[in-house]
Amino acid sequence: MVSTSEFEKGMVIEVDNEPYLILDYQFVKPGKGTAFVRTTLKHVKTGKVIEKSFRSQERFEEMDLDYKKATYLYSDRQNSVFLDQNNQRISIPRSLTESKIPYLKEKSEVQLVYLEDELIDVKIPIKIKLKVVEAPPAIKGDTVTGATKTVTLETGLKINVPIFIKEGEEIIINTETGEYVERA
Amino acid sequence: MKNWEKYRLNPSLSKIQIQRAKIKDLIREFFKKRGFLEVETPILVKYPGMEPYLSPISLKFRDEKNKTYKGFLITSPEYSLKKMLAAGFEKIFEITKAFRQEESFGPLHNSEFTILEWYRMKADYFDIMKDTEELIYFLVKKLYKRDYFYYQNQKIDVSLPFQRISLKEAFLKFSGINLDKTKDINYFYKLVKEKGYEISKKEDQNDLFSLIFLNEIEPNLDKSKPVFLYDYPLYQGALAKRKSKKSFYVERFELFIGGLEIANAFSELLDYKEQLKRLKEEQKLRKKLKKEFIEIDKGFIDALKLGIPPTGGIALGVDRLEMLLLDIKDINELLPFPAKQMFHD
Repeated sequence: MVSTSEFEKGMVIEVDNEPYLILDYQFVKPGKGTAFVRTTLKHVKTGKVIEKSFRSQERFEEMDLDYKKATYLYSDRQNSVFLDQNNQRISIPRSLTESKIPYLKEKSEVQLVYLEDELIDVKIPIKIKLKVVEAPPAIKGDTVTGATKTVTLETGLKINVPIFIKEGEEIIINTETGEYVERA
Repeated sequence: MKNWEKYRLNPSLSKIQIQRAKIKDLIREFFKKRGFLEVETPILVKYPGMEPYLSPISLKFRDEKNKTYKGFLITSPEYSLKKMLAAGFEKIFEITKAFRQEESFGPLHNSEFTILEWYRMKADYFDIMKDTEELIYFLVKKLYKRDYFYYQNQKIDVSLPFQRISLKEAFLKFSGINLDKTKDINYFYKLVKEKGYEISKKEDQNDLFSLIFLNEIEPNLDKSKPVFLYDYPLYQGALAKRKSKKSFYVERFELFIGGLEIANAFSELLDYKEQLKRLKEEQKLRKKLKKEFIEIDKGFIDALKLGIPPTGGIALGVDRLEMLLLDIKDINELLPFPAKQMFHD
């Protein structure tokens, strides 16, 4: 059993006997009475997203998840394709990978998340390293104000970085916030 | 990266701080124009608010003879401001810092936050409602030169008047529950249970109320215009005046904008006997909840004893209002030094 204080994004809990993936959660404190936690939940099988508020002392059955390492190959219009450790190709609907594709390049390592043999989620590292493929040159003088500029990464993702980052450099990105962290 | 470091890298982010300063200037301009006096009350006090579900931060300090004193950081400046009313100041406002612990470092909470309170003598909560909508309208108009703004892609129309819905109407409309009948906790319990919520007999009326409110009322409020929810059941308003002597409802309202709770107001409870009774009840409940013991502020009761004419008052979360007006989803992006970045990361 887990309590609401142990909630984490990506955890699967049982609500009304159904498995739900926690997409987001937030503590709410009404002026009167105990605290609550407002959650955004995705039904693992139907994909339906709901909002529910629980009293903070409620406890839930946590569903056991299995993680399998895999590497990213490519995405087409409907699916993303990964290669698992047995060299099996695994095709996953884009609805599960859409938010992750901008951070994935060929051979990026991911974890495929299974609930009772059913693939329900793809987990990518919080910090990833990507190469800058296109960067406008720094304009002389700008370094003083410490301004930022937009660069394009090898996955096609555009991101704001400090002005000193040059084309060809590798940088670290936080995949949760979508922000530049540091030079690799 | 800390926020202040981000400003250095990205000067466009520093605009947030410039806009925040402007909002505070405009708030002051609004109240001064209307004849309110800005007052300053202490943040470090001997007697903090006693709401059983709030946890003030306590601390110790010493004088020059090494004598130790115990104090608290305020959860709201309310007691001091009511003493100012008793002192004879009729229209007052204050923008100050308040502190609450046992709260998350989430997107809507920071243990230190900015609170705006104002009080108007010879007025009630409906007069305060008017002040509030005029203030919001004034701020949007000054910042955007129009009567709407966008929060997270939601257009919010602040033209006057705002929507007004009583809690009784809202509960009936969105949950089918008649609030009048929640006076009887067993009946209320049965209703909530029948809806399929898993609850135990330990739940009090406030828990049942919040459970329905958060799951069935708040998500269904119209987000395209600010909404005043008013007339709360008695168990939801320890510092508010009853609508009439025996009414089950108190003169309290909350303001919701874009789904965020922004302000909480009352026709203030000024009857010292009733107030003392309710504070003693809160003290008992605090004990039951194993919360820190807090002495009743006798000065506050004495202030009420002196007699204060009917007064309306309100507390408004300035940080949340700034988040709305500046279209920022997370308080940790609004503040230059969020507690989370100091204590948590």
